[in-house]
Amino acid sequence: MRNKHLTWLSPLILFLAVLAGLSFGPGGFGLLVSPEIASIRLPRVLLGALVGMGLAVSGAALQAVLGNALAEPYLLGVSGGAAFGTALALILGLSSGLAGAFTLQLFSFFFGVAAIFLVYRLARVHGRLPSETMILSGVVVNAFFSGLIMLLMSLAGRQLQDMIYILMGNLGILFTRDTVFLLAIALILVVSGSVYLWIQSKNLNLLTLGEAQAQSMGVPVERLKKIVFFIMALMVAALVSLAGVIGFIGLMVPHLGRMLSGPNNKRLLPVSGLLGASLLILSDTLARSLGNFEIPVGVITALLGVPFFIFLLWRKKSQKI
Amino acid sequence: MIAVNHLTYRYGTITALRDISLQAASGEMIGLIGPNGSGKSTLLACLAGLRINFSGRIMIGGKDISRYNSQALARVISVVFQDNFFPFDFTAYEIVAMGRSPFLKALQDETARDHKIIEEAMRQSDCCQLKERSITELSGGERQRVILARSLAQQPKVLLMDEPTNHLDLKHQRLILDTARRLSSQSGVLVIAVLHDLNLAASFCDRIILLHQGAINADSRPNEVLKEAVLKPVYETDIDIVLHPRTNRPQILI
Repeated sequence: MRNKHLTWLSPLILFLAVLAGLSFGPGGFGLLVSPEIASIRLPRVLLGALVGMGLAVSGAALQAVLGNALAEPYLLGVSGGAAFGTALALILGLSSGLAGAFTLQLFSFFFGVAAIFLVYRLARVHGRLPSETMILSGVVVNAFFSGLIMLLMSLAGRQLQDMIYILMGNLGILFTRDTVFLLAIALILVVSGSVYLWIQSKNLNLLTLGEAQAQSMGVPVERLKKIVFFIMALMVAALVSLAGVIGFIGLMVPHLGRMLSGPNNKRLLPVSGLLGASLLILSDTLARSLGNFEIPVGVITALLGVPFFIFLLWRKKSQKI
Repeated sequence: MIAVNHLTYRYGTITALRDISLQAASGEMIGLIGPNGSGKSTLLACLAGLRINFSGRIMIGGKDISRYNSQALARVISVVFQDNFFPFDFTAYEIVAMGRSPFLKALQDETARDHKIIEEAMRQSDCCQLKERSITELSGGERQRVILARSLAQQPKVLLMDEPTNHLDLKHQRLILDTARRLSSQSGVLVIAVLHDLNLAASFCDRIILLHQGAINADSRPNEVLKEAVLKPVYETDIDIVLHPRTNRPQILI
């Protein structure tokens, strides 16, 4: 049995995560070490909140639409596609200024959306996405985009550093005129996308029962699915071009969210947003404070996420027997 | 309630349904039978609005099915599917409540009246005691009762069922079909059920439609359809038919 009354915990968790994010890191422990340090930590905490929220909400919506609790933008190749699009725009030298920010987004979005439609086509069996075919398709699409990214890296000259940054996932972005454009676009997309998905929460609940089932209860399935894929890819693309590839947030957070408030997306999506923000802020705090040098936050989320994924697979297997 | 005229449905090179015409009125309980691959489930899917690229015409309540949007159609027709998966642990009550969604706006919570309808649907299919249980931990029979209750919560005028008694024990077979029968006789719902078990079809339906290779082979009362001369060429096997000692309905022995 689950306890729905734990929903209220999620804003509390976010509050504590923000406190931790502002208190830990190089430069000493404490909320007000110095204005200089606060001015470094605060933007990172806010960026972590935005990216974490967007990835978690994307993951939750994807899990509902695909009716599969192992779905996630990173594992299904959406992040990989978006990273390739970003790297392509970088190597073509199309990424500076406001126009560049839009071009970067457009490239990133185009390949992210291509990835999700490809996985969906490959994995669908009778209107459902069984875990086996879904994960396999995700692996293949990811491998394809990794190959393309490596090709670009071998061709890259001075952009190589930027590409590595995109691949590793990192919240240590420098706020220049160009990145502020990216940040503004990401903020608008994540907030409006999350609100739209929340408005669709009832239909998302129905879609977890299967496409035919949802259709028979009045959900315009084909249209909704496409819209959710597009919105999810827009959000992920914006976040990847801002902070690089950060995996597993979209996988772990919806599960934690269900433990707190159950599978109803009307509660789950907002709770996932808050928990996603918290988890990424905490991961980034770890990444900053663990050693003498900074670990890319994508490494931390992968180290947390892989055992989590194994646990989910193991639980699924033991349920089947 | 339903009028089908010259319905033909093809996918690829296969003709799944050929020139189907039938009328079905409110309050009828119709069994749809036929060998594997005879088009039963496809016909049901067409009636449910899940297949749209057919030729011919389907009228629901005097209106062409293509003129309904999915929400409007869901207020008239509900479907009990053969295969159901529940990847997330909604409670039984939450699943049944989903049947009210065609009547609610986005983000709108169920009203007191909706909750009443949900409770009543659960009472009708005898699953009130499962309310707080997670759907993922129910047995096959319990789950099917919840699925039926979800369909009833839609307050349909037409209830379509695709092999609703599959994998169920005797008690649950009877419970599901009794509920459907009561709905048709007392509330005037048109029930069309695909049934693999001919004896169940004979016992619970007043009219049986036999499909063979995508076409209607027979459409009449059980005693007229469930005859050796009709069934043997369609099912391509020897059978014997006896009369049920109590109800006098035909029962098939193999």
